Amino acid sequence: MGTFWEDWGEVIQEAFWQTVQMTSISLIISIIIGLPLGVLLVLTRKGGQAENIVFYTIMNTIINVIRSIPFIILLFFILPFTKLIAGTTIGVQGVIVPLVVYTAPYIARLMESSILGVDKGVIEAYQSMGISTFKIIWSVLIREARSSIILGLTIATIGLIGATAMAGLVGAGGLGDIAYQYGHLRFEPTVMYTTIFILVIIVQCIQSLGNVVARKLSKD
Amino acid sequence: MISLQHVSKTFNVGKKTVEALKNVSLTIQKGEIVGVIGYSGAGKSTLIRCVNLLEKPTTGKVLINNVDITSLNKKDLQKVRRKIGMIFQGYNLLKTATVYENITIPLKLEGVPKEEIKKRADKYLDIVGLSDKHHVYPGQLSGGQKQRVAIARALAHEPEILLSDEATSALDPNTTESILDLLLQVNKELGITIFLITHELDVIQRICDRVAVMQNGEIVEEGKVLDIFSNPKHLRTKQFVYGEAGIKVPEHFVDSLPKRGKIVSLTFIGDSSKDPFLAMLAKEFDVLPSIIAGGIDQLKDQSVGKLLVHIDGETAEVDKSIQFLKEKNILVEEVNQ
Repeated sequence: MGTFWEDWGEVIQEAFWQTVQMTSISLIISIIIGLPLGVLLVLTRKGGQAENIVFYTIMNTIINVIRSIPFIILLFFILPFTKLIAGTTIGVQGVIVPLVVYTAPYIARLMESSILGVDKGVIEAYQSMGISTFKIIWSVLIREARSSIILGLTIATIGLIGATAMAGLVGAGGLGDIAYQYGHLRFEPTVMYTTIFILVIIVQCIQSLGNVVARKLSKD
Repeated sequence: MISLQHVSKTFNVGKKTVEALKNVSLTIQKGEIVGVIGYSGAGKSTLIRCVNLLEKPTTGKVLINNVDITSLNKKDLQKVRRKIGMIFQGYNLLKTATVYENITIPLKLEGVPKEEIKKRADKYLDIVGLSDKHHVYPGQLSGGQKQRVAIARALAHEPEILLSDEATSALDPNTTESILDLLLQVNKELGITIFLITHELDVIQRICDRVAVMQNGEIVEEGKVLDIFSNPKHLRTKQFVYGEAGIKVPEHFVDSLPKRGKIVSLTFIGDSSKDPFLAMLAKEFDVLPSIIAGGIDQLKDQSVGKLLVHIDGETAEVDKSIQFLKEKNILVEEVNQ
């Protein structure tokens, strides 16, 4: 064990931080894009507070198209776009763009379904009190959906961690990358098992944390 | 205060158009409690939602304090809505907020000063009798308590009008009673005009001054609760009044009565029931009255007694005795056998 950690400790640690970095940065940007998008989907759908069928149909289609493409293909498919936005297509910086493009629509979908779960009557009660739709979004929609939003974000985060495994293909590293590079190609099963073990622990922790927070917030 | 003028509302459901309201007009004076009663699908829910434009009428005007609110812009409509509180069958509270927050959040969103918010929340939670529940979440409250929170939330805006959309329909009879008492108190002590819809006659009977009966999107009868109770005219009104408060006599029982004479329903209002009329009938005329059924309905400020009586005797004597009853200010209606 001692020698294993001496040999691989540094590599694994670096990969761990790369994964954490990629996941957290893309998650934050994806939430910033996905949450308002989810709200917009709810507001603009048929019968919504700001019904706009054209906008809804366009957004809905774009989201569906992006969600149909597997990440490994999306990664290469949008290379020119990545270059345009990030200035590079390699390294952690180069992988954030595709990760966001992959995750934001997913989060938008999850947010949409969370918010649709909010009792319409409460929205109506707030409208009847003369409160603007804009204020209702934050104080009623997102507040009442928060427990379900957290569970959705938990799912999205875990999916995002899965996607970062492919980031190695553009040289961004991460745990998935070393499992492939060292564990598979260089035939070092211990490295493979160790990274898998670390990933399992991370996912478990995130899921448990999500569950606890969601339960705390639900108040039901 | 509230005046609905020729309000119609049509919905498009798929390819069909449904007329939920057909040319409905109704006026509610300041300080009144007015109820609309009807079975589900009668359009009463659409009607009450037209008062604060949660539902926009297809045609017609909605006047609040003489201002037609259908012509207002968004901002002005929001201002008017703040003067109209509304409570619902489903309470519609924030599940994620405490009782106290449920009252303070809407006030905060409206920009009411902090001090004032605290003052109002304390005051109105006290009025609805929940001053010990500030930090409890709605999930831990009973239906009646949730409705009290909803009432406090509505009152905290210090509205002139309170709309009640089937507010007691999901509650048990005892809780309904206590909520109705609270509404009466709100009306009397705070002077808030109340417009409510319900399918329960009991609600109308206990707290309303006036009532409108709705059927298929139309108001078929409207008047003082006392008049509607003592002398319902439209078939639907009769169904409500007799069906619930009422006198139903099995057919075989009617068949077993002597074929001679008449069955009459007698309606006594308030104090007209003090004299022993039936005994007087037997004494003064050659008739034998016998009671088939009877009951008393307690209205908001008066009681209405109803008796179903068979008057046995020669036709001439029976008619004379009916005339006698009419002279005593009793509403007499012959019931067809």
